[in-house]
Amino acid sequence: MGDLESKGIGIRQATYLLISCVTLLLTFGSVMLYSASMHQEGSFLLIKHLVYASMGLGGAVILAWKDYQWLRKHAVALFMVAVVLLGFIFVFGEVRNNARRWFVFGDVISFQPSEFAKLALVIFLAYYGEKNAEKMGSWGHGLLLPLIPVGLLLGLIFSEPDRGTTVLLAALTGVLLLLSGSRWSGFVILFLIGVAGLAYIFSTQATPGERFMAWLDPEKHKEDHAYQIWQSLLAFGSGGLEGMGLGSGRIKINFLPEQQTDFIFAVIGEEMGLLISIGVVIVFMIFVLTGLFIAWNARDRFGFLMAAGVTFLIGLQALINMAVVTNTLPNKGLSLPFISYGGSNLLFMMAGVGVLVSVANHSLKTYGMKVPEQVESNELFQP
Amino acid sequence: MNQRAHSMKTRTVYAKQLRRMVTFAVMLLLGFLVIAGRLVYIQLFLHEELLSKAQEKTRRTWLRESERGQILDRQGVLLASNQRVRILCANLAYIDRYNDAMAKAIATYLEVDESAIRDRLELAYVTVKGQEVLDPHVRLKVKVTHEEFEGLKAYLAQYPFEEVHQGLHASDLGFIEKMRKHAVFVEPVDDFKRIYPNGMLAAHTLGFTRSQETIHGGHTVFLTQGVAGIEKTCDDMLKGAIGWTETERAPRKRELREYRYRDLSPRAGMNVVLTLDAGLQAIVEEELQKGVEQSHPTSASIILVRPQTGEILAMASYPTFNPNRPSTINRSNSSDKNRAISDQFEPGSTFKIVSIASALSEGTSRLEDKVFCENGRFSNGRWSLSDDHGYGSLSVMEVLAKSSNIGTYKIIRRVGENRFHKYISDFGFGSMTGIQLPGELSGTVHPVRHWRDVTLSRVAIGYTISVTPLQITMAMAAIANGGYLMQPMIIDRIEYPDGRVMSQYDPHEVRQVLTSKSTRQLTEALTRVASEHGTARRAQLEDYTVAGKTGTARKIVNGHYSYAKHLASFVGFLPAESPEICISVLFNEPEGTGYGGIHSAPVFKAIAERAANYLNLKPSNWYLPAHEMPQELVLQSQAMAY
Repeated sequence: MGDLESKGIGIRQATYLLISCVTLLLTFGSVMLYSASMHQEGSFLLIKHLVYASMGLGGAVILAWKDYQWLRKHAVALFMVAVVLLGFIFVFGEVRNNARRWFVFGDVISFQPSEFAKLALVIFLAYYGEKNAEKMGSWGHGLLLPLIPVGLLLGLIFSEPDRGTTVLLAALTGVLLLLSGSRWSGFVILFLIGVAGLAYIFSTQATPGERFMAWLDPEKHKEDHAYQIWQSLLAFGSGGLEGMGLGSGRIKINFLPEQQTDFIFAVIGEEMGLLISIGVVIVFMIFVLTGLFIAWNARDRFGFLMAAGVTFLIGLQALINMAVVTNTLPNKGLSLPFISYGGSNLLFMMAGVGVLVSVANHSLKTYGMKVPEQVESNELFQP
Repeated sequence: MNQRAHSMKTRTVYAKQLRRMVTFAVMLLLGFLVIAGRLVYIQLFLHEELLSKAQEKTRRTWLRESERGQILDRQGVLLASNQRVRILCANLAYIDRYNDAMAKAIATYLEVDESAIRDRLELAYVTVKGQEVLDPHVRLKVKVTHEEFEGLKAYLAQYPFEEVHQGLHASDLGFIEKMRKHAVFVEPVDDFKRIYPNGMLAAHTLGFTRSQETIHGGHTVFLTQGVAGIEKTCDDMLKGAIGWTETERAPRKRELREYRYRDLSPRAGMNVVLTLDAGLQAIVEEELQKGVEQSHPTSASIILVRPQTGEILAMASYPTFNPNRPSTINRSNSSDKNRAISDQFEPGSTFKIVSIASALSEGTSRLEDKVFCENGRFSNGRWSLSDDHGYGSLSVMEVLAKSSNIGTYKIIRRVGENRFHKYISDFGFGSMTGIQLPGELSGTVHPVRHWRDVTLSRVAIGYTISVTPLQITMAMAAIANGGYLMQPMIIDRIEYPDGRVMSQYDPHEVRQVLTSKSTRQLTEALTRVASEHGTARRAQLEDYTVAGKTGTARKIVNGHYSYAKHLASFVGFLPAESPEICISVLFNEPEGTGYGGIHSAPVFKAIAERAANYLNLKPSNWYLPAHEMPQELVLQSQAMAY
């Protein structure tokens, strides 16, 4: 990253690049969302998506303009709100597709607290990591203590059930605690426990191994467990290099379930072809790079952790989603940030981007502050 | 100050943290690169394979059946048409445990076998997206008309399912309500059912069709094929051209119209207009039925032609069948056989018209020449010939009127075998008439070199040869029209679906058999047959002079001519002065004596009377010798010609 600086890319340029990436994903995503859902819903989902995008954009602008310092004061409160909302889900939540994940108001407005929880968790862990900076090396502060609130939050999300988000946030917590200075060893143990837990969950299912086998050979299981993923592969495969043309996808029409949410990347692959689908991957990579560049240049540890957290949150979610739709990982229900249809997700992803830009706006470079001695770049690559 | 420094210290980012961030960043970016690799693999290397597998699911080819052409009579009356039909299906999810009751209800309404419906309603499960569900699409019956379907729904709406299962909960009642509404539905296919609106009318001429179900691209296609009658001979013209749609589909969408890339609409078949007249056909069939009830023959046929053109105005056979339900055809008595063209038999006395005609035409005999009839028994030592009634000396005219076998033989003996054989062939016996109907037979006429000493005497009176009813009718028509053998016509014209004429069939004269002078003489002789002095008293009409000839042929049973089984026939035309219709009536093995004059002549009379009224024929007393007829009457008679 030092190299980037030396090549003259400043924090401003990085911010513009980041905003461009998000804008690109958002506009392209809207087009693809319409294409993916027009056969079933017409423009209904697109309009809803654009409303949420506008709200998200407004929120992002406000968050970007304000100094992110205020978030430090409210980190715990936000976290508690997230826990309470997730708790309320079990009372007031609406069941869709066998999962209780939503609050529903009226006919069209719905709210998914786990999306809010994602951002709240990032802010909370950034706050915690900064507050206990000196103690993160210890088992207690570095690992056990933060696991209590995080475990509560993840437990609630897991019981909705929402395994995808749980896995995502577990990974994100690991990343943020490690960035805060925790020991690797503890996470190795946790990771093993996590794997054991997943294995246990698999074994309790009615057909243990079936889903795993379906993942390995989707064509053989295309009529049952791998139906969705097989349709996704057919979509990508049909697209080929050039794609079938915008709006001309066939698999998206009632073959592929969730084509406008979790599997929208397959629609992109089918209609726009390999060049564009790889283009989307590259844009996400640039987004991650610029996000982490902003984190690198953050004014303080809170900003650093928060920027890195938001970047990893979005990057990781995009990665897992793309891995799922290309059958690189087994199926999890995660949407593709900025592109998939999903109001709450879009809203809080945009808020996250706002926070990122705020960190960039209030970074060391923009205020002309000196780089602290501890962050001399030559120290970075010392053993 | 110190505290602030501490605060600053905790807030600064350690190099270790940045290092870790770089590590995670590298891991994340590597992950993205793996995805990019997967995309290249799937979209580039698996492209062809996956694309073809996707197209297997989306691409569909549908055959669209063309609407079969209609068959009409000469006045435009529909004889064969089509009805749009659907496939009746059931959704088992709505039926569930009521399947037995439902099978009973459906079978009762549609009048089909209950066990077949019950088998189809057997609870079967299918896997839809990994879930086992009751089959929502079970085919029950093909070719169900809209009326039948609507009727079935109404029937199910009031069918007492509740009584079948006692002690029901409210939820069961709700289930039954839903079942009544949604259990059965129709599959929208382009399919037609051939219908014959007039039922059995002209069944043998029209024939019937068979529908073959084929699965093409996952869709059921019914191809209709003519099996008998006009349906068969004109199949190529009637069937039109099937349509062809290559398109794409998606679940819950029948077709993605925008991706239809090949679309040939079906071309409807041509309409076939027959020479038949439905009114006359109805008269003929009614009278045939009456005759059958009187005489109880094993089979019978009647043909009504216009002698001038050879157009067949009506043609009926007994036993008959309903072309709407080909499955009811009785195989044991071949009820689908068009006996008018595909029965061959020894004609007996009706064949004497050929014998006398050849003698008159050759000039070997004149009408008033006397022939000694040996008082009913004639023998030359090698073979003998007898008459039912013994006659002494008869004129040629009387020989015909009394139908004397001995007289006929003596007349034909003067013509000679070779000349007689030539007349037989010229009249069209021994070869097919060429009518455009399937299954015509040619009859048998042995060549003269195979004739034995006795043969001439037998052929002269209609034995040792075999003919079809149509042949003998056309021979009589040739006598009626002045000596021209016409090819029988059954198709008048072929029309495009919009009614424009595609091709018109014209009357075709095969050859001139007789001179007009000899036919006039013969007609005069034949009028005597249907007179008080002839064998066909019962064929006489009040207003019209009838010319005709009876026949009572003994049938061969176990190699001997039977005295119990006969072929009773009458062939005649009217008005004798200017023949408009020629009718043959043929009863095979009627009960009782079997005389043509008793069984066939009354049927002829009934038909002739009604047909003459129907056609508004001029009564015979209107006819004057041509030179005495006023000019306006000549014009009128031309105008009235059918």
